[in-house]
Amino acid sequence: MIELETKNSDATVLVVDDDILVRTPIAAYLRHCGYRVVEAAGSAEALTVLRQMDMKIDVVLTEVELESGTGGFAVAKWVRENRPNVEVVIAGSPRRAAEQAGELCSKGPHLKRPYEHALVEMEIRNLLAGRRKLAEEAESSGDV
Amino acid sequence: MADAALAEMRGASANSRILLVEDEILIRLAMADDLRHAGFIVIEASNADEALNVLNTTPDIALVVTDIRMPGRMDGVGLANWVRRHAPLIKIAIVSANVEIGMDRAFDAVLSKPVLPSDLIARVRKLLPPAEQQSSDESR
Repeated sequence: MIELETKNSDATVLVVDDDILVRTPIAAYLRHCGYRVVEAAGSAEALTVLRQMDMKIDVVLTEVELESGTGGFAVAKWVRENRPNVEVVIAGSPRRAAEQAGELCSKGPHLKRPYEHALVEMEIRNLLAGRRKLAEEAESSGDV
Repeated sequence: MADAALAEMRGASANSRILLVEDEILIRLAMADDLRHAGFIVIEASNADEALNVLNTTPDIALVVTDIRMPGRMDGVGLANWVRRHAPLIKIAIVSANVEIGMDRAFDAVLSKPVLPSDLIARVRKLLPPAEQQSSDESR
C-alpha cells in the first residue's frame, strides 16, 4: 500500500469542470488542503494551460463529459501523449464512461460526480505519493 | 497556505469575496493568483452565465471584477447591469482593453488591460477595505 503523504503545498492540481457550482467547491477544498489549484472551465481551457509547458501541473482532475461529451477523454489523451509525468484523475457520473476513462489514467482511478471532496483529495495524495516513490526508486537504482 | 486561513490572517472577511469573470484562462489565472496572494477569496467564472450561476447561489460576494468582451449571451456590461439591478450592494470593477470616457462614472472601478498586478490589488483594496478600516471610515 502506498504511504500517504501529508505535505501538499508544492503540488499543483488542474481542475477541469464545466459546471462552476461543482468546480468552485472542489477547487476551494483542494486549496484548503494546501494544493495550488488551477481551474479550467472546459477542455479548451485545460489544453491552453497544459500547453504552457513551463507551467507546473502535477495532477489533472477532469470531468469525463465536458462540452461535446468527449472533452475529458481528449484532455487525458493529450496529457498521456505530451506530459506523461502528469497524473490524471477522471470523474464522471455514468459508470461506463468512467470505466473507459480509467483506461487512460496511470493507475486507472476514476471518481464519481458529484465529488466526495475528501475522497478526491485522498486519490490525489496517493497518486503523488506513488509518483514520489517511483522517482525515489529510480534515483536509488541509478545510484547503484 | 489555504486561502481561508490566509484571508483570515490578513484581516479579510465576508467583504473580501470576489467574483472574477474573464474568458481568457491565462489572464484569469494570473489575476486570480494575484488577488489570492493579496488575501482575497476568489471565485473564478469563465463567462457571464457562470457568473450568474454563482451570483444566484452564493452569498457574500462583495465585488465583481469582469472583462467586457466575453463570448456567450451576455457580455461584461450586461453582467454589470444585471448586478446593478439584482444585487446593488455588490461593487463592480470593469476590465477592458478599450476604456471609454464615462465608464468610470458607470462602474465602481475601471481597469485597463493588460492589468498590472499592483494596479489590480490597489484598486480592489480601495473598493474592499479591511473590515476594521471600513467601520472606522463609516463612523466619521
